[in-house]
Amino acid sequence: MGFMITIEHLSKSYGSLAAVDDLSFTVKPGRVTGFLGPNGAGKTTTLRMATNLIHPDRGRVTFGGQPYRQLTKPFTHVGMALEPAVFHPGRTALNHLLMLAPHAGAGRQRCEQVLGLVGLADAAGKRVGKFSLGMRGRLNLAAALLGDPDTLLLDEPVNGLDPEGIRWIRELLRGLAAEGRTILISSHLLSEVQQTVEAVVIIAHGRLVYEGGLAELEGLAGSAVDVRSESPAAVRGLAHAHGWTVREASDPAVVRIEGATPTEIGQAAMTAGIPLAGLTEHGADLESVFFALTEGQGGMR
Amino acid sequence: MRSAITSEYRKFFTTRTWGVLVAVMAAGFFVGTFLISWLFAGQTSGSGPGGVDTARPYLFGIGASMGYIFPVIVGALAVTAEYRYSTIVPTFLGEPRRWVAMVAKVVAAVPMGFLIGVVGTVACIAGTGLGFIVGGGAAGIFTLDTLTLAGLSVLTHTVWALVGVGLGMLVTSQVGVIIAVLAFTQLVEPVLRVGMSVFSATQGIPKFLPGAAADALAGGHSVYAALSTGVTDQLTIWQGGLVLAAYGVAFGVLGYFLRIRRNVA
Ligand SMILES: Nc1ncnc2c1ncn2[C@@H]1O[C@H](COP(=O)(O)OP(=O)(O)OP(=O)(O)O)[C@@H](O)[C@H]1O
Ligand SMILES: [Mg+2]
Repeated sequence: MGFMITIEHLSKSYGSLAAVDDLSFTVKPGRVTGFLGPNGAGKTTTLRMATNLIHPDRGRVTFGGQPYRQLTKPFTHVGMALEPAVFHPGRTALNHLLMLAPHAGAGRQRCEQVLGLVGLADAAGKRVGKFSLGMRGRLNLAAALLGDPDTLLLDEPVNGLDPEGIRWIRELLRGLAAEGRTILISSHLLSEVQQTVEAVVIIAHGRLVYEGGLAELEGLAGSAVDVRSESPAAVRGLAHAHGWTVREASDPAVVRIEGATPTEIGQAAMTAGIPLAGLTEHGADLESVFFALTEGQGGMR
Repeated sequence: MRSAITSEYRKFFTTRTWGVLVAVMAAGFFVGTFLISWLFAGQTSGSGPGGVDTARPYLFGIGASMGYIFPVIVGALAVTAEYRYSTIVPTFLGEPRRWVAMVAKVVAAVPMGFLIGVVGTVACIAGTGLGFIVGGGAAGIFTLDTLTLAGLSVLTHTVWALVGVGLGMLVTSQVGVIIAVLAFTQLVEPVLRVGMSVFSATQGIPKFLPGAAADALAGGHSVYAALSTGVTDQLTIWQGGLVLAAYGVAFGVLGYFLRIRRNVA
């Protein structure tokens, strides 16, 4: 069973910039949690503070109640993949893992095993300096998995992976979470991890803006219906009469309505005698909720 | 601690840098001592001033008194290469008690310094011996004196490697440490040693400089000491070893508080 990760009042400033600002949240075992925020939101800084690489100005991060530096053989408890990944370009992939292996209580066999697990078995003897971005990402993940930890912190693990790689890592992480491990993955794109995570923590400007299930976030998003009609003005009037929200659509013949199901809209239009040419329902538009939550406070600073 | 030490060895032997350094050092020492001793053997003979017997210990000890830049740099690289390539980050993730990670580097540097010492010393002695033979003299390698000097030379290289680790902790920049070592050992210290020995007020100081302490540890046959005419004020072997080691400890402790404890990104 993975650790419960507790982040309490974590703060870190660089000069006048509050990179992380009184941030508190928890990460539960048994599921994949997405750690989201626009570029510069403070995700990497938070993960580095969690693992004792950066000293926070205030607050703390604990794994099952213990700070990282008090874990004995930390690699066997917490696997961390950093962004950007760091390697000595002259070392081979296998040697990179062998160098870390003593800390993870791993032998050569385990090193070869994790290389196989991330699909790098054939590149074991190749110098990392010659690796592609995606291969580096995979090796970074292999290093995090080396000590078979119950808790994984992965900073932008999807970066540089091709669609097949994204799908592969999704399966892998979901499988690991199903075994009861705690998995936190950061990303600046919700859509990138949407199909992988069950819970999300969203930060902007170093502050928490959302913590909860992905399903609840989808609830916040609601759904929209695109109504195609030869008299869009009449459709707009109908929406106003029912108190539905009207959004602009790119096609002038289409009116985008939020707050009603296609059936409700169809019935109301029939009653009002407005002929409709089509009704299309859109899934929850998570990306726009993400944007709404983080806009004006996140972004590059 | 044991896992950190094992990890250090693997770091060392999985890059090519150390091999290149050791090869350059061995070749340099061998060719250098060979040429010098060849010249000596051709010009003079016997045990008079400037003779073969007088010159021999200086040439045997050239690695310890002039070539110590190699063990220093190999020791320093254990720290600076990690900062250069940011592999210090996984190092600190694996061993979050940073002082433990650093002590592991010091411990791991002992056999590496020893190895470099053996290679460097053998290169000097072989070069010198061959030079004398080619020049028509006696190699004089297997005298008891030579073996003592060789042992002290290896020991000196080893302590220099430890000083290197301390220096790496203090400077952390790869280029910085190479410049600092070159400037200090090849310019600042020789000038200080010769310069300070001229004035009676400062005459007592040069023997405590790192290079002078190392010369004492290596058995006292230093090219620099021979150049500072008239002044033979040197520490004993033991004192030299302790003073040199003290530099390493001082650099390391300072470096720990000033650099190593800092945030890494
Ligand atoms: N060492 C540093 N010195 C000064 N500012 C820093 C430092 N490290 C981070 N910052 C600033 O802190 C803020 C948060 O950076 P951080 O890298 O944590 O963001 P992030 O959420 O990981 O972004 P990204 O999605 O681009 O990786 C940024 O504004 C960044 O410029
Ligand atoms: Mg980041």
